[in-house]
Amino acid sequence: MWKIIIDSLPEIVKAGLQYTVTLSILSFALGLVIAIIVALICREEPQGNPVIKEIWRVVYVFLRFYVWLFRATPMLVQLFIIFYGLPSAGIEIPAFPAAVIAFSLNVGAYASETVRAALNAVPKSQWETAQTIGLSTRQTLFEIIFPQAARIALPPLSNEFIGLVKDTSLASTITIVEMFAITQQITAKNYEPLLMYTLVAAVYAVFSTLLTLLQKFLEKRANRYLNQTNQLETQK
Amino acid sequence: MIQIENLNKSFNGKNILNDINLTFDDHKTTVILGTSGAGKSTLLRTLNVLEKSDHGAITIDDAYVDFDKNYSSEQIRTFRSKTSMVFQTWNLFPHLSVIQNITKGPVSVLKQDKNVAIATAETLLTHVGLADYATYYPAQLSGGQQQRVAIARSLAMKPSFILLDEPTSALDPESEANVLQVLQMLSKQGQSLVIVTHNMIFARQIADRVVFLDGGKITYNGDSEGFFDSTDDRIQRFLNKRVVTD
Repeated sequence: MWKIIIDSLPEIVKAGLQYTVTLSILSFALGLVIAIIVALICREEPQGNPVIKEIWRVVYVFLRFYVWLFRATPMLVQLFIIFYGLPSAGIEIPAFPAAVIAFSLNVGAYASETVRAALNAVPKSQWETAQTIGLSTRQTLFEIIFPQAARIALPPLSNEFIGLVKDTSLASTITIVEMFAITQQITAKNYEPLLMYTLVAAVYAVFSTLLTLLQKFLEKRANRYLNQTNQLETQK
Repeated sequence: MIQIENLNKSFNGKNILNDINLTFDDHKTTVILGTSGAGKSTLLRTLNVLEKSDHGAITIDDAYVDFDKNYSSEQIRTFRSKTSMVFQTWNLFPHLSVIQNITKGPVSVLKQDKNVAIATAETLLTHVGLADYATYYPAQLSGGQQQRVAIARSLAMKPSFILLDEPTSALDPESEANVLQVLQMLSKQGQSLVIVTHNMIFARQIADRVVFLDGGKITYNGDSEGFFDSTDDRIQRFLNKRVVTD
């Protein structure tokens, strides 16, 4: 048993680092950018110019449709449509970019709701105060609102990321030889399905645990201005 | 000087501000009084364009906003730079330390050198009695201390006028006394202040001038003594009610 584990583990971890980690980080980063853009656009109707208001309404309806569509359908189906379906329409996308697109759009749809909720959770008075000081909208967003929203969004976004790491196993269905696919290949050779699938489950668990630790570290950093208060109260 | 011309604002068909014409003089403390819903806070927030009026215009020094015409965001920013706001619930930025809260505006908006802004902020903190709290975060301070930081933050922007919206309503008596002391000091130093308050004793002590609003209209606009000695029924009713309430 140990020999099988020792022989297989490096291959599984290598595939994990090469595909699972890369796919997860790339898709999550892109998904987060999509989520922030969607959340910011959908958050509030712009004031003033009626033409801009009209354009906003069209974009808003499109973005809400996108969020609904990607939350209402399984990720596996989205992956199949992009990789196997689009070539019929003349759009051929290689496996890895297809997986990144599918995962990013899926994460973007879910995370946009998280980001929207976090932005709404920052009191309106913080926007107003930033305005009265004279900060521009960009400065208000990046220097005042995002740091506070990030603290609120961190736990649910970490959940999303950990979920995504495990969901990347779906990439095996579109020919990407990531951790799960390589485990299937090894199993086909050694006929040890229980051992091999338990082993890959353990590797996923290690990856997820590392991410949970990272989440705790980031949460501690994001909460430092509140934690100091708690420490002060404890000292009292 | 602030000059308000024909300011009107309604909300859901109800007139909040009804043809307001007013001037606020430099280096004076004007207290705006009135019953709840009289339009005091709306008037104050309109001076900073946090509320947009339906009609009318406001001039502060050389800056001008006409609510009947289109105005650019740049025009609003220039206009806003003439005043700074202190809110009832102080609204400090919780993720920034006290010194960062005070220097944020001068560094990011006025483009002051960071070291100069820090030195100014430290002086201001000394003025408001919080010299030792520069590195604290807002959540580590009491309400009164946070309000004094908010006052220091508004002073750091070197505004022509400081607008204070019920600055002590959310404070305990001890914190309230500390904040009032700071405001009295600023008033004596000739800082132009416009204060909305429910504290009649404080209003009487600090006001050079009183503006009394009733149902969105100016009912009294004159010196402090004249208001508190007024025989006008509405003012008497308001003052008697305040004495009973307070």
